[in-house]
Amino acid sequence: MIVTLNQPLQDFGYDWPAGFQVEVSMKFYRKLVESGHVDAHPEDEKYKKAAKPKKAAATVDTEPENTPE
Amino acid sequence: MAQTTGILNASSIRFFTGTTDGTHTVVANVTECSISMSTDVRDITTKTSAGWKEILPALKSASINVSGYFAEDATNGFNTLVGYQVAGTKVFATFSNVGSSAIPNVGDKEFDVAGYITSIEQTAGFEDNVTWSLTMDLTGAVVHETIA
Repeated sequence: MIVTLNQPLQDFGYDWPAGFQVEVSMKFYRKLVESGHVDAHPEDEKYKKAAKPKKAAATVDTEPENTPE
Repeated sequence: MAQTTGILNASSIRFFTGTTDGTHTVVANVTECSISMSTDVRDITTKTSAGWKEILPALKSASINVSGYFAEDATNGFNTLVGYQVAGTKVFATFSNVGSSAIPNVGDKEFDVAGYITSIEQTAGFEDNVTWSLTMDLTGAVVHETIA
């Protein structure tokens, strides 16, 4: 997976500036996505599922029930 | 993504290394890579073996061989790898199918290993590419897992 860093990485023995492009293993890509160093690839099924919007909650009628006078 | 079908193009297999587990970057300018595993055997042949040798599996071992072109400014190229050999650094590696798409082939298999570079050489003839090759002897179990 070829990734482009959106922030500098100074960890795991690497010292790379923001904008640095490098090919990484799938496991490392996932770590970098989790740490916010790279954006998830739009075709990555794992993050596609996570990004799906939730269904709107069903409308609840909050009007008070009619009470007999 | 589903497992790749059919005979794989060898160019799809890449060799990644790092000094911590799971933080691997591709080794630059690789032209060939191979992984081999072997099992020693112990002889259990006796007088009752009816003239045929009998064995049981014993110690298992594995190694990786990689070769490529030399570039002074390569990210994770020969200069990095020779540093690992000189320092005796434990190297974590994956031997993985990246396929031809933007996303590696989730569902295919990869090797996840660790070891030490036990030999490395650089070769320079004349009017030709400078090349390098290395052998990495592996330590611990070879994990053959599904890319996820």
